[in-house]
Amino acid sequence: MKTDQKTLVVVKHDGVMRGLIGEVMKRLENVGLKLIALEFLQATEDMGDKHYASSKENLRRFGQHTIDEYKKKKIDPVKKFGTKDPLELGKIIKRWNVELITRGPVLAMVWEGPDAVEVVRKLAGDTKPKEAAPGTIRGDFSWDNYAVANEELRSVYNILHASATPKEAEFEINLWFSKDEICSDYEIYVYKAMHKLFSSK
Amino acid sequence: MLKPDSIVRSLVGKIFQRFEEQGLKLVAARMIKATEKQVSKHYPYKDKKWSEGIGKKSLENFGGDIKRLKEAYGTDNFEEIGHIVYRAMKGYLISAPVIINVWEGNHAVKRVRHLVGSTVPTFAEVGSIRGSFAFDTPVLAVKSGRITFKNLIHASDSVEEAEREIRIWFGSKYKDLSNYERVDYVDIL
Repeated sequence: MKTDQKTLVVVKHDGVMRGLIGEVMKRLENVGLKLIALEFLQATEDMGDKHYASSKENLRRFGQHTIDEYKKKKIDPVKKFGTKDPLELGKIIKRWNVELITRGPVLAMVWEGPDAVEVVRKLAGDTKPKEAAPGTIRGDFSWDNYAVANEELRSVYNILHASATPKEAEFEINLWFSKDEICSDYEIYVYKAMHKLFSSK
Repeated sequence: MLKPDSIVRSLVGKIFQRFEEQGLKLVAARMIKATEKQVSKHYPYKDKKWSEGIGKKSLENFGGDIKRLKEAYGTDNFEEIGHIVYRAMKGYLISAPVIINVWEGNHAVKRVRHLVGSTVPTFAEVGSIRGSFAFDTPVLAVKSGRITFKNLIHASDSVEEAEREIRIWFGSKYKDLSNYERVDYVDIL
């Protein structure tokens, strides 16, 4: 267990518009995660493009996923997107993701704690809000799903982005913040109190 | 500005939520480590009038009792007390990061002041941010050796002061990002 693992969280513009910044932060603070960087900013196209940087293999996988979904619903992807090539579809989906994250100002943050990546993903809930469990941020605040989003030719409104792996977190933190913007040199009181509890044993 | 105590006590989300619920719109925010230079601009302790003002306020906090004031600070000279308080405030503000944030809305300055509550947390209105989450007093702060009391948050008291403070704390990194809609009042404005 790495006690100082870091993860990137971005409250996307759908969350900002709905006034859910405080709600998201509160949930991360409640479990005892430590906030070490924060900026309200407008992401550039270039940042969005790098943030969703994907190998051809991954884009193809995203595209194939959509094609499979469409097959189940007996919808012709060519009619909808003008293509049934998984890679081309993958590129379209990436385009939507970049569009959503650059649509308006977002709140980018870095949170630190033991297994922070996994803990934040758990609190965020399933990427598809409809599938997300009640009690998770997405489960409590969004009903959106891929069928509706695809119909409206957009990415799902899922309130926040959270790094999926420690490796991805490292890449994303470097993309959104410079080293001098990270303020990890302090202790939150929850930790302080817990340390005291054990040292007095 | 959310001061270090709101951050180490994990109250940032709750405080942001209060502002959002009021329909205030976030315009700018950054987490930073305050520098001595910023603190000395924010609290101009070299200005005799400012320091003496702090000394006078301290006397008020001790119920106008000069003897108790002298006992607490080791002096009854207002300017010296101002300097002692300044040094303590500097220590407080650089003890952990702060979050500087700018909010926009109808009568934003007045409403934020109201929402934050009066300066001394123990006497702040119940339901205000300080009244809900803080409990310090100047006398307790002096007694426990901290000198300056913790009150979670600073809010500008006029538009002019807000502009001055944005320059101090954000400097060239300030960017007004208010050009977006909030769903709460999409049909009002």
